[in-house]
Amino acid sequence: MPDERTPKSVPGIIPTLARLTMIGWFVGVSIAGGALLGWWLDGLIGSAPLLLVVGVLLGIAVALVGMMRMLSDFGKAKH
Amino acid sequence: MLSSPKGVAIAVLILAVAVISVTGGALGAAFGGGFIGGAVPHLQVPSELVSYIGGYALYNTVVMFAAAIVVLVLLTWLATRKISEVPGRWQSLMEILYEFFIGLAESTSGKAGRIFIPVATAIFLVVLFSNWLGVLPVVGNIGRVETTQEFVFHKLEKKLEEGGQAELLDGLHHDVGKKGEGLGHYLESVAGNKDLQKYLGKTLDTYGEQDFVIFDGSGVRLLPFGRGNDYKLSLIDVVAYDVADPVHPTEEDVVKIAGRVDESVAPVSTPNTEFFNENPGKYEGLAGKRAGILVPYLRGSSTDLNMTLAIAIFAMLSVQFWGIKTLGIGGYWDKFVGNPFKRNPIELFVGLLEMIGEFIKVVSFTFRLFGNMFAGEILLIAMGFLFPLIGMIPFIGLELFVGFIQAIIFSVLTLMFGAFAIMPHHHPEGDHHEAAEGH
Repeated sequence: MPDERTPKSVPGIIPTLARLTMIGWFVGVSIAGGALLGWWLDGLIGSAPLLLVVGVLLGIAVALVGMMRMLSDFGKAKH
Repeated sequence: MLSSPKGVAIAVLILAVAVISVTGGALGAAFGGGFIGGAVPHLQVPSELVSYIGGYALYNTVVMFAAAIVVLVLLTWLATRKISEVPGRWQSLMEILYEFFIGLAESTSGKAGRIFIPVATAIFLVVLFSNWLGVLPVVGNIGRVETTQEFVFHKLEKKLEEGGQAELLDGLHHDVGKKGEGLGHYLESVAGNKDLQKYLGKTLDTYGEQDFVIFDGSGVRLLPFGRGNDYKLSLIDVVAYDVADPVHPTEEDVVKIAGRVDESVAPVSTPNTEFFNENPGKYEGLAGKRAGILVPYLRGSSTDLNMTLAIAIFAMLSVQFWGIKTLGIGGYWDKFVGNPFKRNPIELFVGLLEMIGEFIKVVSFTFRLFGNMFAGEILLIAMGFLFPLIGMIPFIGLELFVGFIQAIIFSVLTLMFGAFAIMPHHHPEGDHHEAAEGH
């Protein structure tokens, strides 16, 4: 936990902007990455579309957990 | 402004440039203008090879990255050459930057946040300069002309590699080497070899639609002005316009192709292609010129995925390093998995997902920077194509802004992920509660 604050404020908009765009990209890349990985593995072992579905679900799970973690961390860091 | 003669002159000049730009570009070309329009250059995601230095392949984005580093070293030298109480121009610029990051680091993690500053500042400066240098006017439009000859040769090599034809490839290389004229007349050896012909057909099948711009000569070139995008020929148009079935060339066809691949545009008078029939007269005077692809010597380094990936990996490795350094290996591990036998299964699963998330962050970093900068480059090309002379100007401003924002986002996020990495693991209940609130 941050314990000591400098009174000097940094331009608030830039960190906020950075956080929000990161969350957006994170969610997109997780789901797309999970889907691609599943699709690729499907191609390797011929189990289509099982692993594609698993990959998408896993991607959504990673996206949700990561998003929640980032939002809560950002909330803590903000004040 | 219009009251003084000087003002009127400036206004007239601006108006004239605007009119020339609109009528001379691609938009004007639709109405019979287009006298200064250039061809749309060949775009590709991988960076282009400039040349070999020793055995080292030098790519155009690498050149620009090196240039960015040189500028950065110069700037740092200027700023730190005479450090004084009352800072000079360069010194105060660097101080503002440093203070911004110090303020941010301390507001997120207190004094402990100071360890982030060297890395975050370095990432900011490197990304900023590689973004900004990519906007310079000389970037992307001066380069070497890759002739149809080289193009077909390289693609043929690629096809042979893909087909696992190591022997044929060796044979081809041997023939090229033996003739001792560079690429010389490599297609002559193709003419005597049935298997190579099959692969030449495959090459033409895959890359036949590839557009070639017509240049006035070879060597270092600019894209030619004033011919617009219509002065382009596809590979088939250049080398195989009278071959009935380019995908299955006969021995005779290969000899024909061989003659033409040798750098020259096909004689325009040839009657039997649809292409020339559709555009009578337009291509007069082009016979004997060279068709090729411009391979730019310089290209903004942020438009190369390798470069953005390298910075992203560096950033995320630094984050892991800070976490481990501050919390110890055990403490940092506890943030994710901890002791798998003591933790409840849902917690464990969430921890594993968070660990995957660390890798996803690398990919997100990579694609965000690459996507923004590559899109910017295409935007500039499109505007230069539509409205030459002035169309780019507002967008150059936009690109400078985007380059700055992307650099600052990259570094600020590195710093923030660092701040989260050094926070100790919290009690699970509290964590969930806060996560739910944040959501």
